[in-house]
Amino acid sequence: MNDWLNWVAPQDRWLFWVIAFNVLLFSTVFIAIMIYRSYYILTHKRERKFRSTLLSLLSGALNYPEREQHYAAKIKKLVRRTWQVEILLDNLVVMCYSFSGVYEARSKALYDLFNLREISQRKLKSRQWHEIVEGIIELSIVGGSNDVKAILPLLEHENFHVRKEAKIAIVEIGEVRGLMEMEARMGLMSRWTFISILSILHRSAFKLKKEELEKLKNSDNPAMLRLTQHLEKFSVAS
Amino acid sequence: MVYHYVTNFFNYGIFIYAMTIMSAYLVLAYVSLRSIRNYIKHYNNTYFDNILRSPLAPSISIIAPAYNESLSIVDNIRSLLSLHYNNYEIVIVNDGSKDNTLQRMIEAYSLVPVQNIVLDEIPHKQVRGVYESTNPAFKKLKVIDKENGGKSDALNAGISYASSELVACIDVDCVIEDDALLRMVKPYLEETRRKVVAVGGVVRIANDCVIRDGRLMEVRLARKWLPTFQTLEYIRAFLLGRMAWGQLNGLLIISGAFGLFDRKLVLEVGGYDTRTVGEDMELVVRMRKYVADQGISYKVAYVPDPLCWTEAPDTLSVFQKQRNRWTRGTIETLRAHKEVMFKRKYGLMGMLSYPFWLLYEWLAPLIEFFGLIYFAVLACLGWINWQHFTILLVLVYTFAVFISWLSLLIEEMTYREYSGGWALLKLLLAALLEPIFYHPITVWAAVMGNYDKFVRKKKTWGEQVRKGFTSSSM
Repeated sequence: MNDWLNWVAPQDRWLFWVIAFNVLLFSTVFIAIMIYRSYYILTHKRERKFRSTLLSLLSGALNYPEREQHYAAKIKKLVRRTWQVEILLDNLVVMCYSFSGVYEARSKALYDLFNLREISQRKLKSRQWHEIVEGIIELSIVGGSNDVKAILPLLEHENFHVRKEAKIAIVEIGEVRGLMEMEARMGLMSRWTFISILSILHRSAFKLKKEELEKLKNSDNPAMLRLTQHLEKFSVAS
Repeated sequence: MVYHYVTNFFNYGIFIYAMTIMSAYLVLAYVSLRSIRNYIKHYNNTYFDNILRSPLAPSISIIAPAYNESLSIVDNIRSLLSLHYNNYEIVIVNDGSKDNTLQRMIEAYSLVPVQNIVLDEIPHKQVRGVYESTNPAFKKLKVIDKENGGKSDALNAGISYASSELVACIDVDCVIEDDALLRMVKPYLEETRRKVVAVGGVVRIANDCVIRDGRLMEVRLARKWLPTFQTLEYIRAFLLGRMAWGQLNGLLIISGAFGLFDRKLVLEVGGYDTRTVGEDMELVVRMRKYVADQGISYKVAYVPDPLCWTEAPDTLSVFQKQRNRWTRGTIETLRAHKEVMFKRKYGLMGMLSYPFWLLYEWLAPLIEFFGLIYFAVLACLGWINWQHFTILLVLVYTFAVFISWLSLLIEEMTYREYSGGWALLKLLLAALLEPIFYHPITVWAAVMGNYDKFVRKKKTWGEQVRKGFTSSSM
């Protein structure tokens, strides 16, 4: 095999193979860059066109509820592939979250109409932590209080990001019930989670009963005790 | 006989050095690739609204020294005023500008002097006045006018005045992304087991980008080759090198253009050192040492999102002055904290980061330069094994291209800031040309930095010539 390397001094032949390996590496990297870029160019145009059409149909469905069936049928016809369903989900989440909540009720109705809850709940069982987080966020924004049960077990997930988002989501959609369910399972709480939970409580209308507040004050969990110090103002006399 | 010993010593020495540096870069590339993939997955699922709306979000003071910035100061401040964050203030420190920087700010933002302000937390040059705005729309803005003392001194004055929990030290002429503060504060808020002492962000090259009213409108690759090479270098340094060091918690430097620090800790360590030209790196190393000495578990975090855009030198003379200063700053920091080396108490900083910086960031240009001289001497004496030399040269070249292209692949997989096809091709070409044209310039600048530091004992920053961003029409 080394006959063609006879012109190279014996002590340098191994360097030749290292060079060949380097060349193989950077060629592979070059091909990978070209593949990524080509994929981006091919999908970007197609995605942009799809998004534009989807947004105008969604806008119609959200702004003209009397013609919901008409727009829903068009959206069902348009959305066929998995990537298209993901974009539809993303857009509904954004619509629900944005514009000061003007489209919240309508977005949730469409979310149920297109049976997207199944997809979000399926993500909770994924082995990829970022998919679980995606599912949690979707359920927390466009889901409802019934989804708390599905998210609760994730409070003990091995991944920190999953646990964090689960805590926030449970308060977002579970409100008082969610907070009480978490009492013994809070674990460590980062400032991000702490601020997020209090921010959610500031925005929402629910109130804690006195006995609920007392239970939280007697919690063994230091993170819950820290949170409880700020919860007095949300309580009402029983 | 002696000739054999001497040449073998240098040959094997340089060869082993080259092999270790290449191996180190391979390890950093691997760590970076893994961590950035995880980061991007999480990036897409982060909603900042709860933090944005909450008065409990940590307060941040943006400290921006300004010296002779009259052309762009009004626009720069305007863009800082519109950052997406609830709880922050802007402290502009006019460091004895010789032009009408202060007057322009006073007129544009209705500033009036504020009485009875005492700034004595960290020593700094005398403050001539402190100004706040009478217009409620600009209540976040404060201006300190002081005698000229240099960037570090200005930052110290700003930090002394600031009242926030965190301080973001920036260059006033950089363009900061709207959600930069949210992204930079995230590591502080998420960490539960360690104290986050500082967070570093990514700096990108803004030459020829479309900037309007102090805001980045469109990313474009620089037209000239010198800033293009620097763009490639910054992508490699930030996406590969610093990402890996950040993941390992071994980051020794946070860019002076944009860094977020725990203000209380900065005060405890005495602020920026005004005697060094590498104040950004020196502060981080000193903070790390201080916290390690206290036995506290800590972290210097890193956010790989492109949050800060800066102008890179586009002429050789300015570029060489900048690199000269960077080299002197590195030397000063390494010398000031040499007791850190190989001390287990300082964790990865002492056992890995510091030795790496000493051996590969500082010494590499010198070894390369003297290796070239050694080669020239051998060539004159006719003692070169040309085949061996050529093989080594090709080996180093192919590896350099691989690492640069790998960083471009990471860029393509993640942020893809340069989405134009020609920009990508130009960057790929730049990676092929860099070892031949650009790298020797950086080596020479580093060698001169060493000469200026050890022989000429130079201490100053030198004159920074910036052209500023010009508003480009779309």
